[in-house]
Amino acid sequence: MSHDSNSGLVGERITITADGSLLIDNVDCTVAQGSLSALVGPNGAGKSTLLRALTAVQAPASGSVHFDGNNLLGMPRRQRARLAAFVEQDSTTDSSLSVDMVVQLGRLPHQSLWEADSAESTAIVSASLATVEMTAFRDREFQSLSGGEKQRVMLARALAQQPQLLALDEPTNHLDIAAQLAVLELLAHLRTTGVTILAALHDLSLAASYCDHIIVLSHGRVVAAGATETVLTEALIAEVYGVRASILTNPVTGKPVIGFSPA
Amino acid sequence: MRLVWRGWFAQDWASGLLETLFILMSVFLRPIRRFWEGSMSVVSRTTFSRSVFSRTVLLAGVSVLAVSGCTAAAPEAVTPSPDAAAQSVELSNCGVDVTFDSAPERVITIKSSTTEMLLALGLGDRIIGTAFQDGPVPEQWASEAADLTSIAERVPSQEAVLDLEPDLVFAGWESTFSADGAGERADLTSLGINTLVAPSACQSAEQPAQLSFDDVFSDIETVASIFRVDATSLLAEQAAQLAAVDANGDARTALWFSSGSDTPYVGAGIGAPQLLLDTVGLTNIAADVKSTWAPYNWEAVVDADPDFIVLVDAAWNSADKKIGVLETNPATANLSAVKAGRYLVVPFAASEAGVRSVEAAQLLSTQIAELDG
Amino acid sequence: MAKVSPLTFGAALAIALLVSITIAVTIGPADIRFDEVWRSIGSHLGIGVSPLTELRDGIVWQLRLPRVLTAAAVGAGLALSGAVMQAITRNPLADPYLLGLSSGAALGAVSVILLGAAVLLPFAAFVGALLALTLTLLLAGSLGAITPSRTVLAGIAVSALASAITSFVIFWSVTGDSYREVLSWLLGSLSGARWPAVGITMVAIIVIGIPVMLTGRLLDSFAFGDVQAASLGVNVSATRWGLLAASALVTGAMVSVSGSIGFVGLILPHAVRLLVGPGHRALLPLSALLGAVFLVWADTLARTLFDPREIPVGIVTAMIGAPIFAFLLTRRKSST
Repeated sequence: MSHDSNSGLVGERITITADGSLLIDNVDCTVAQGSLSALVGPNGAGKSTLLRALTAVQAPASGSVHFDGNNLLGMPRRQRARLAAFVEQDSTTDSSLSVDMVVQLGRLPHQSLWEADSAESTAIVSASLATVEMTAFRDREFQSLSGGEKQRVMLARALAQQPQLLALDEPTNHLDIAAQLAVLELLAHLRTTGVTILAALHDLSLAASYCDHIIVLSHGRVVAAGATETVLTEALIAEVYGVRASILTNPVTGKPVIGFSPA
Repeated sequence: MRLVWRGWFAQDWASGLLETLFILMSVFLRPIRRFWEGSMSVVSRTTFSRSVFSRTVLLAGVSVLAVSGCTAAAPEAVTPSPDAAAQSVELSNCGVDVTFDSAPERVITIKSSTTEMLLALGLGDRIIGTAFQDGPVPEQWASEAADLTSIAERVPSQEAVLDLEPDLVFAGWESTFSADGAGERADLTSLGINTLVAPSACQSAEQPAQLSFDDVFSDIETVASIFRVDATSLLAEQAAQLAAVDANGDARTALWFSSGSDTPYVGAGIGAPQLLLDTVGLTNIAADVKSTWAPYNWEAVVDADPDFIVLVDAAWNSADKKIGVLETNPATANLSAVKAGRYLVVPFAASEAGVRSVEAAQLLSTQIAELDG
Repeated sequence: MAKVSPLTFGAALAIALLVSITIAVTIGPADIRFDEVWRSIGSHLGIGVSPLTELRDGIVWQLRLPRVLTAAAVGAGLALSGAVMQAITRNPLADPYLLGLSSGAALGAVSVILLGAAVLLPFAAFVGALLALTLTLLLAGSLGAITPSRTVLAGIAVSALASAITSFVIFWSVTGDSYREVLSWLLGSLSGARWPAVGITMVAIIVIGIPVMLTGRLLDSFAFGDVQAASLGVNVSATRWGLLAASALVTGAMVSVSGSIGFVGLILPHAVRLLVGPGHRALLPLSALLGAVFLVWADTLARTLFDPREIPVGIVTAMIGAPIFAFLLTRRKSST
């Protein structure tokens, strides 16, 4: 199995175990450079685990991860964090950090420990906040924000890392529908700036509406991967999720919408 | 009752915190203990203030109770009449009422001061066991003491006490009577064992406001009355020895250094150390602290620069060790008394109020005379 | 939220610390005038001649000055350790006591006091703190992945064990008065602080404390947990255990001269956080400065409140600290 070593994110033979059980079983996957891809699958399929391995946040037991030819698992941590950013599913803190300080955390891989914030750094923080339309909130306490606002701030934090690869774990989790759409619109916009994006998503309709590629994970294995329309079939959904699915078309957007009924 | 055992530690106010620690540790045992105590008769706790005056009244009370209805007893008439031996002796001891229907026959003494008290009264044969002895018994009682059995190096456990089936446990420190020690006083009483604390060592109640030799001598009388023996000759002998002590201190100052290194623990203004210093004419630099012994402060010691330093010599903390502490602390090494070696040494057992208090005063006076050479 | 500029607050604290030391050293049971105290200190620094007798000069140079300086260093070290541990364990109630460090250090110290090998004291406290930390980590590890909450629970267990052994040692070997020395260890006291104590604590602050103060950005990255810190390029486990070990060393050094002084590590970082916000780059050095000022005054109270008696400073810090902590808790509740 060989891949073009210069095309986007390439994970090979990734195996992850925890406490003796196999979470990810010898997975190969690719995410095309500059694409917006979705990682889908039932709960417990191993989506979060695989995402962390693909951004080298948690090293897998075996396997390799390359992005644009760079060995993410082998390079120095700070250098890797300038290349790849990861946004967790639920970002919670006990600290009373302000929005501004949270976004500044994204500058950590670019700064030495005890240097003052450079003008450039401050500008990047401001730009990141502007991108997610949270500039007005920059002095607010992070904990006081709504779920959708928090998710946007965490996205701004990731952007402040100036990454070329952005991985997000269930970025629409717990958000109301407007906020879910806002986040995905934002990702679609970011994708136009050349950032390669991989998001674990729960909602197949959202994945089908916004993503060019889909990777389907089940029981720690990739069961299908490729262009959205070829991968997301009623048969595959029935096999992986154990439900009957009907793929319809949204009359407004013309994108696929998936309806479910019991198997 | 529960807090009686604090007596020993209560010499130091901080002991309350240690007590809290122990209480927390035993928190699971408490409900059981409560139930147990609730089922016992409540001992009334008449408290007497122990000025010399009230002590005299107390002694009169002993006599009054001893000879029911008799109001003619002279205050000093503790000497039992022949039929008094059959009468009960009742008194309040550290706030606990105790009754002796007859003279105790099987006594456990805890601390040297109580052992020596009985030896001095010729009651060595009543002692069935000793515990927590602070040092060797002085020459004059050595032969009698040779037969004594030590049951514990420190405070014996309640079972060790009960095992000997005593009719009296006589302790030099109030703290000895605790559930973790020799047993709480109420518990022992309910098992038919009397308890007695050397009266001058009381802390929780009836502590002498300012210890005097009247207190020390009346302690001896009290013990004599409980055992129905005559203390007259012992007291006369002690009074004569006391009268002979030369108050050669000439109002010079002294530190009574009992123990400690970081924080000095000193003889303060109201207990045996103050009494002994007063007796030999020395001025205690810690006299203002209204306590028997108290944690003090090196800065205040250096500021006062005392003429003499009294060192208490105990097996567990020798006078030499204390000299070491004084000489290695750069601030105290320059004290005049340290530089000139003007130390007065008192054996630990004689530093607590009791039958050796007069001897301690004598020792101080003799050593002052030697140093003054 | 930042209410006070960290730089302004830092400058104010630095001045307050200098003023506090200057004044505290002139307060004590012995009545020595302000100018005499400082002329005496000046004479030791090679400026002029001491106006005091040799003995009273000793009060200033051998008793008061080393004690005040030790108080400052111990306060700084404990507050710094507390701030670091609160960040690393993501537990606002964390302090050097949480992970059993203090109990371990006190056990080490108490053991050598009762064995009579006082020379080994600082070393034994170090070893005790490190052993307790190791035991805490082993126990936390045996429960599964080492998470902050498991570490805290393990710390409580280890702390209880170390305290029980300490109590056992006291109970077993107490003779006459050694319990009093032990008490001052358990409650915390600076009465034994002389120049060697200044040396131990200052070296700990300079060699370990100052590098730790420079890790503020790293600690900030822990605000959202290990995964986010890792995603920001932080070597999470090396940072965590490295800083924990550094905190253990600082705590061991401080406990070895002062015993376990409570509340300094717990409340002062919270107070600073309220004033300048949660960013650790400001929080760490400011906590250390405030801790120094706080303990200088707490110890001054401890040695003068009941003059000429003195009380362990741990009592004073608890008496002041507990109500402040309660206040901080209510503030915290209303702000979240």
